[in-house]
Amino acid sequence: MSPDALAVEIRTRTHWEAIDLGLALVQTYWRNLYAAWFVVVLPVVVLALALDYLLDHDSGDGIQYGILLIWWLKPFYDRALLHVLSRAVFGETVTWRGVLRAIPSLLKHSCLFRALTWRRIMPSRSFELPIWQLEGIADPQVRRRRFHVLKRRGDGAIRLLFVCGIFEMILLFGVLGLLFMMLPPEFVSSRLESFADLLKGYEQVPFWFKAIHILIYLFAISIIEPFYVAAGFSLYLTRRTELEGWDIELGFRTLATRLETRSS
Amino acid sequence: MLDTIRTIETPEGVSIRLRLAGPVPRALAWLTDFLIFAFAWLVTGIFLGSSGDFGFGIWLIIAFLLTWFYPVLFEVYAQGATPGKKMLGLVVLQDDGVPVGWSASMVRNLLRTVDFLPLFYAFGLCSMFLNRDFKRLGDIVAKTIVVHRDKPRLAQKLPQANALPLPVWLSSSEQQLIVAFADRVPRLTPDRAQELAQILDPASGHGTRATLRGDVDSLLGYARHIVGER
Repeated sequence: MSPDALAVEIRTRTHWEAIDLGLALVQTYWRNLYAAWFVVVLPVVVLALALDYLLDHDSGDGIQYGILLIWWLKPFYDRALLHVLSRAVFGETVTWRGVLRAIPSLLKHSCLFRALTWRRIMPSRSFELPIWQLEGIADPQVRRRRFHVLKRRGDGAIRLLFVCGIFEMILLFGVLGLLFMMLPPEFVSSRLESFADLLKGYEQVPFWFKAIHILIYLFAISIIEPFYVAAGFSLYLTRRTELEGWDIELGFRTLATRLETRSS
Repeated sequence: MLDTIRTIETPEGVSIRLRLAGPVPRALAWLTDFLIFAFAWLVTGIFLGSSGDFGFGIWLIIAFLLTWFYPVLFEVYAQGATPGKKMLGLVVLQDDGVPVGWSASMVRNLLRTVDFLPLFYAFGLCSMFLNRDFKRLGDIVAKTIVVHRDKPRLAQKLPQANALPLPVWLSSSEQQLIVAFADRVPRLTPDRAQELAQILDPASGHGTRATLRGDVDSLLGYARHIVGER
């Protein structure tokens, strides 16, 4: 990765600024990001709907299997998003076909298995992801050392996860709230003892309500997850800029060129 | 180049760089303010609760004033920052970079009711994601922006070296660059520091005229000279 080809301004940033840059990245490359996003997430959503439909007739145990499945596979979508983003910042566009083609190698070379099992709950996974996926270090020992070099106390990754989690819930309940504001009260009261049931548990909820729930959840993560990945990537870039002096390197190059032209 | 900086030209022809603040630090600032607000409300409630209906009436008035004027007063009288924003290093400014005034602050805070819809600022959040300047609806209407005040910190002390006068003229931004390098040296690997310094090495191309020496120690010396050591 050479800094001078990056489309992102290289400078030192606080981790808040790095996180904000993540949003700027999403706003700039949303076309590429969302193409990749829906290619990987929609099949899973279909699967989740099917799962909930099949479990509908059972008495159920109150667990939201569809949502759980979509949530669980987040590290997989993240890899597709990062794959696209890490190329977009170097001016290379990956189409949705390109994402499909990249999936086999992403499955193999980005520690997906670990990410879906015991590292699924790591709070700093947005920041770890670029190290695992982009640096391509095969030896786990080396990778762990690399991670400790890059991470530092109080980096923004954990706060990022915390806030993104809250944002997701705000959007989820926001859309639900909007739905209830817009629906006529008679409709709501006749159909939605279900909503009250939802508060008690997920058992008696009809399938159509679970489906709506899944679609609203899809909406919430569609807004937040690309930002989450981009912000993690941006934190990673900022950290490497600082540790390797990328900003200094670019500045010194310009200065050297100026001094050179002056003396010739 | 992609960045979160907006450059604003003042009428005097000076350009200032504002570093926009996005939803994550702003949400945390709001949360901090909310906790302070809730605490204040609770405390006044405890004090006034014993004095019957009259006390309850006063409490409601206080709640009203807190809701609508807590952010406005702080933004107007405390350098554009409520306590929560201050903690996160954020400042509210008008779009043209001047401090936020009464009317703009009133507008942006009244419109919190719209941003808050349907629940907990969902509209405001969507607006920030869609707007290039990370504005919520209140910011768009009031023509205000929220920016970062805190800069990445420089270390207190530059590494030890003998001050060296600069052999060539350098602009102020180039001088800052040398100081930034010196500040960063302790965190770079020695190899990388040397590699960076060599970019400036005169061996890479020009004749007899005076120029910078491209090794780490000399650059540290220049940096100490730039910050005023002789």
